[in-house]
Amino acid sequence: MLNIVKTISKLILGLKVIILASACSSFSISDIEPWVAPYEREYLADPIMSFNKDPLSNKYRQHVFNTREGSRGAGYAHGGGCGCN
Amino acid sequence: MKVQEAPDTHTVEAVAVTKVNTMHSLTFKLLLLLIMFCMLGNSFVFAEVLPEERADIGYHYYDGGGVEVDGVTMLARKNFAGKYSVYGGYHHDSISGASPDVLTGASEYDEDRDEFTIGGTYLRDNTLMDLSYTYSDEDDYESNTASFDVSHEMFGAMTKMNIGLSIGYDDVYRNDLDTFEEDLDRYSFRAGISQVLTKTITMQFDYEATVEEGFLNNPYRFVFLNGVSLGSGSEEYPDTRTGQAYSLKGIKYWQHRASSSLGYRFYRDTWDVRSHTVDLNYSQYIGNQWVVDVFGRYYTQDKADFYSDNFTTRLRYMARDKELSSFDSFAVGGRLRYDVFKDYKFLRTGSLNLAVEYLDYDYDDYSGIESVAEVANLGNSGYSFDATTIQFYFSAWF
Repeated sequence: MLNIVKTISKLILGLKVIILASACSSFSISDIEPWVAPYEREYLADPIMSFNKDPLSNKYRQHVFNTREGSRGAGYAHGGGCGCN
Repeated sequence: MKVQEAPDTHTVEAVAVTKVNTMHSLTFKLLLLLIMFCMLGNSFVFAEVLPEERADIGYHYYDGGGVEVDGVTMLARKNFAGKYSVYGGYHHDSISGASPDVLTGASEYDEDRDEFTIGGTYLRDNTLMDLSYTYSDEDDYESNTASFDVSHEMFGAMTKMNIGLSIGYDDVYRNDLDTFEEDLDRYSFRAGISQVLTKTITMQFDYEATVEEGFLNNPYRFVFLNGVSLGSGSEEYPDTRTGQAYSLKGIKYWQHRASSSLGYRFYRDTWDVRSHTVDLNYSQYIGNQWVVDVFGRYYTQDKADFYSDNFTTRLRYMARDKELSSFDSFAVGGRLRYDVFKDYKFLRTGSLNLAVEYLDYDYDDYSGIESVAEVANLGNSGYSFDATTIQFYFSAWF
């Protein structure tokens, strides 16, 4: 029971983050200019500058690691079964 | 061999509660950080865009540690009306063999795993919302996962924030026991920030908390107590596991049409598993049709506090899963992409890709014995295995 309460409280906290993050799109307190202008982003827009330029390959690679290691999460694929029993 | 005794039930529960509270505190701090970023931004908002329309189809192969896995895999995404996007994926694993820690509890096997993913993305101004569902089915495991993610671009597209939730419901079975059925529920909450630093450098920070409740052990494995097997399915795990992962990565563009990235991840959980992961990647254009990637990865992990290769005392929780032991691993690989055509009918680009990776796992406190007959070797650390993965796939952008 304690675990269920803890899980629900975590989900509520996550929802609060989503709501607050959405709400904050309606106001700002600064007019600081971006220091890299849009026309200076040629290199940043190059496909090889993406952390996930090969989604199919990266997902498979991460699945291989997830099924053989005791840790997961933070920017990596989630969900699905194991295929390791 | 020195065997660390696991704490009793109350200690594990108390540690779990303390760590969950710590997680709440950290999550709250992260929440404040996100709000601060939001308030800084928005003066120069440039519209977010939908992900690229593309389709990939390929074949994958894995061979290592007594297991062979191969199959087809595909993923496709199509955009509509400038603000909607739908995608779907299918992945098939044909698995044969079994790793040593499973061989001690079950015979060698052949099985198939099918995974289906569908999802949709909605673009509104500078915000992307994504909802997806993944179903995975194999003979002794069924998994359902629903995910919801939101990303928000701000500060003139210099900063991108993302948050998301996943909820999963799994069923665990045994191939050799029809009456066996257990549940596992999974929850994860993630948040991240991507920041443009210079004209050529981007950094990204990600945090993810995962909670798992239910049947967490493998139904086949067994543990050894003073060299005597306690029988198949004798592992006993706590029914709750809470983990936290933090990752920081950066990528830089080089003027000779190349990029390099470096990433680090720290993970810890209430089972006392801690790990460090370092990822490296280098990408280079060669001419107008080739892209070469070279990548490497190092991973090191400390064992769970109730893991032992051979227990000396019967404890409340006992595990002999090598994924919960102490070990190091490294991987090196490369990927070659060749653009076969550009602007052919409705396709912008079509490319052939080949990726090969070599993996090595070295265990500190896992003997890797494959049968009870080898029990004399219990406690001899040093089991290791290597593996090779191959992926060959075709990608098209339209």
